[in-house]
Amino acid sequence: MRFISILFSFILILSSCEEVIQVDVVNTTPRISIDGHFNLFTQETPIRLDGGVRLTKSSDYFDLSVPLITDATVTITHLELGITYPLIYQPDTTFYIPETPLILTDFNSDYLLRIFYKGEIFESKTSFIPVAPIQSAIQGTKTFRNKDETEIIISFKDNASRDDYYLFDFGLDLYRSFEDRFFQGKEYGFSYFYNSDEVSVGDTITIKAHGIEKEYFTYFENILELSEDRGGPFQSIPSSSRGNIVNKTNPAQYPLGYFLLSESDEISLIIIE
Amino acid sequence: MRRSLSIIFLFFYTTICGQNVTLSGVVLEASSNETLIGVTIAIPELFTGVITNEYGFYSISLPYGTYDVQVSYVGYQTIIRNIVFDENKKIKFQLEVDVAQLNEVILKESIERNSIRKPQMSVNGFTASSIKKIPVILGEADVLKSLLLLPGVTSAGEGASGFNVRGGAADQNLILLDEAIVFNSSHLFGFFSVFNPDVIKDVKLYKGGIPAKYGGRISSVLDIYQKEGNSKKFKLNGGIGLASSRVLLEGPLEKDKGAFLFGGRASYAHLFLPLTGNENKAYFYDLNIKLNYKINDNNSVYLSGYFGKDLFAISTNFIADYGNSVANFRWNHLFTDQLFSNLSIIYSDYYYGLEFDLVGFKWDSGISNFNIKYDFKHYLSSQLKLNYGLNNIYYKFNPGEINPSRKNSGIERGKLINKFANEFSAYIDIEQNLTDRVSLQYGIRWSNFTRLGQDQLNLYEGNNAITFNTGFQLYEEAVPVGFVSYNRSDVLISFNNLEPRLGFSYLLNESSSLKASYTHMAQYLHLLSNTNSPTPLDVWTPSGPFVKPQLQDQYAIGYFKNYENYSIETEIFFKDIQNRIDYINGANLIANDAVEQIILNGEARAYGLEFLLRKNNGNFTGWIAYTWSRSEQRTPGRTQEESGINGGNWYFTPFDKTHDISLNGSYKLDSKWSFNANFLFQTGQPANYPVGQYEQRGLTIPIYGLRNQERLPAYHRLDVAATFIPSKNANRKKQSEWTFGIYNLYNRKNATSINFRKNTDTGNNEALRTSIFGIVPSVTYNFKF
Repeated sequence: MRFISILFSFILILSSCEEVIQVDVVNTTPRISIDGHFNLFTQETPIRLDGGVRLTKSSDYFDLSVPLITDATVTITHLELGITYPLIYQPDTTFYIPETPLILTDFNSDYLLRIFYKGEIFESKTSFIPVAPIQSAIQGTKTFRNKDETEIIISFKDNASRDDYYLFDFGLDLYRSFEDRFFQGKEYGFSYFYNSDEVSVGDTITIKAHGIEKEYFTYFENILELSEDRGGPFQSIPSSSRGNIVNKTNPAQYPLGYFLLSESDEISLIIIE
Repeated sequence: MRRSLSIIFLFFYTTICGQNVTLSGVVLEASSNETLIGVTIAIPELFTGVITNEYGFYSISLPYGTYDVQVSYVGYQTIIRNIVFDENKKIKFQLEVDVAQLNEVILKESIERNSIRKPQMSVNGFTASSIKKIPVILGEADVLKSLLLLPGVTSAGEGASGFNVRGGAADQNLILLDEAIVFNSSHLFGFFSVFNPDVIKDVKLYKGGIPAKYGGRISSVLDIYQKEGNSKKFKLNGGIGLASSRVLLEGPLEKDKGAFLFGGRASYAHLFLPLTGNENKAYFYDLNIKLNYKINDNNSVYLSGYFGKDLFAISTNFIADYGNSVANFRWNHLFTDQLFSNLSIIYSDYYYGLEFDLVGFKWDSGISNFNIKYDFKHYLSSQLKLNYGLNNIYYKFNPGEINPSRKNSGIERGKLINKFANEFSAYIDIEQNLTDRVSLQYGIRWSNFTRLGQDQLNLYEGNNAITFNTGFQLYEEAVPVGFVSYNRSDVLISFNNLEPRLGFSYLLNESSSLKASYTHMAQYLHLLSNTNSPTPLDVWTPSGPFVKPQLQDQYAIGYFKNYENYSIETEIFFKDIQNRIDYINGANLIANDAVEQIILNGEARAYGLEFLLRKNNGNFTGWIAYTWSRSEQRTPGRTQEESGINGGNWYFTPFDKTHDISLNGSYKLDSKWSFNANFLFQTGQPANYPVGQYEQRGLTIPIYGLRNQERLPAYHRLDVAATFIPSKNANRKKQSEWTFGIYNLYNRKNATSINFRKNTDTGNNEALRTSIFGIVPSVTYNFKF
């Protein structure tokens, strides 16, 4: 889809105009939305786990925010050992996190996320997805869509022994996902461009690589497309975005969101002139 | 099967009356020897007549006697000649341009005086000169944009490629340029069509009642013939416009026997100047080359070529280019005065390439086909004509090849698996006047589509390439359990379809008739596109072991009436389509090597009413077209457990337009000035508005409900144009004219799309309307030597 939106930018150059307008939208009953991501930074000593589970409810599209759920019971079970750990709500970050972070480190076991909320049980099972570490991130001099962009060239070496899917997080809620289909086992480099209103000289930026599974790749490409400005006349018919979590009590009232465990790596650099 | 037997049966019932002499020949444009298509040769005394075919040929059988023969064609002076028919006659008629009619925009079909009694319905056409007078964006005369003014024809909107006929998809139109299949009809995403207006001779659009001669696409046939070239003298004409310039050079190879034509058109490079500071490019060009030679009265040969290209580039970071190429050789041969034949050997291809240096790859993709056609037109009697022929098309599909764009890119060379197919068809089509009032056109087409062997065809458990995850209620790509590689000559699967076509007309009185038609058609190629309108990057895929051919039944009835200066056409149609493809949620269409994992076969239907009122004579001419229609599709689950797409419910196709009104008027003030105006009103196209929002990784994600429940605001605009012919033109070799136009006169901000996003400054969600063209003035200068 990305090529299509680049092509669409030509139409915009042509003579189009964009205008914010008032639109009436239909509203539906809210669903519970589960944002469960844990990132395990294995390249660091000691290894570090971040992320957590954030629970919200979906809201009407033009509502100014989505309501937080702070009173759910959230647990994660190490299925190999059969040990269940509670997750505690942190009001400052709005995430539910484990009391001791390093319970989630085992690449050989499945983990079960379970949420008890208002008499309903939500469940999802997953395991850690490995990632190849970032080799380098350097600032480049090229620009793409306009002259005042900042180029960052990121390179990594893909693992030849498996099909990999990558999620790159550039901070500021900017993401890019990749599959290794065309660079299996190779050293691969790509450019990312920050707009001038996103970074400026002297800023420190942190770029993270997360290992993701094929299903999450499909899921994320879909939600990324839905959340972006979408291709004008070339926009695709939007599809519903079901994740990997089910409502055990009432399957029709399915939750939104995803439960993902990623091996991760990060690299920081300071933007120069 | 029973349907087809009864058609054959009907044929044997036909009495072939003994008529004695045959009048045959060609009709030419006097100044250039260009053959004319659709000229009426009428013998009013006998209430009979015939129309010249695509190569200007006609043949009619008459009883012995002396009759007036009347030869008439829009824009030309009518010839009336008294001829004694005591033996077979070959007569070449040469028509002179009627200067008085030159500036009229006329929908052509009405001029064919006996069209009211022909069973053919649902057809509209334009003359080349009419197309040039219709006001269009940036003053670029355009075939496809003119078609949108007809009833039953719409497009997804400004900046949308292709066109939609009677609620059909853009990939369901068969577009023929000199009999060759054109896969992409648009330049610059549909702002311009690939057809150079200077080169076009004749345009005909079949929306229904499609004769057995045509097949392979189920919605419509757009049959375009280009000029052959002037075999009398050298001519140069051209035009200079705001977006592009054109030139056309033609002349004799051998006087009255052979001619050449060379046409070129190019937009200005860097047409849409960079606004962002980077070096952007967007341009297109077309070349048309034609040669023809008349060996003798019974044999003519034609060679033609078309080459078109579009290019977009953002400095060297991103380059996209695409285009069609067509080459064809044709041989017209007259076996007898009554048996005309044309053999065509055609190669055509469509290519697109992408170079995306930032991620380090180059991408090439395309479709090519080799096509042989042999068509016969047999004028048995004035009551009975036969059309029959054979056609074989061999296709090669290159879904894509990826290469590193530079040494250090890390991208490996990769190739999506080529696919191959062969489409054979044979048809017979009979035009028969049963009584003075009843005429029939009936025929049958047999089509065979064979998917040929390829490398690495995936195998799936239970032959099921898509699985359904009942827990998440999601369709998922099945994991192949292996693959088989075949030889090219192996047959993976073969489809056979008998496609009956039936047309009927009943003459109520001299000026009005009722018509009805039924067509059954099969389409074996599918354009993979899940965007609102096709993009140049969409890939064609053949039917095969997992993707079934689309099958359509169309029924139409109509009432037609001619008044002195007016005519009325009304039609009601109903279409039912099996195996319309749809895509699973989150389907990735780009660079997908196993499209069977994302395609589900569904169904579609469309129905509607069309009304057309025309005024064809006088200083003021024009038409009003109104269409009410509905176009829907659905993809139910394959089993009880599956949800289907959109919950298995019917939903509007992206090109459903409930109301579609177009008005065109032209007024001729004097010999210098003429004026033209269009008005269009269309129900906004189906759209999706979010029904909620949720958050994930800091992103705000809109939630969508059932598909296409909302609509964009109504689309409407008014265009005006004035054409000025300087008076010094009279009796001068050099002729010129100016066309001044204003597109979207009242500057309506028509929505191309409404997008929903989070405003990064305010943090609030907002709806953003994109509109492409506001008011756009233009001026074009055309010249002729």
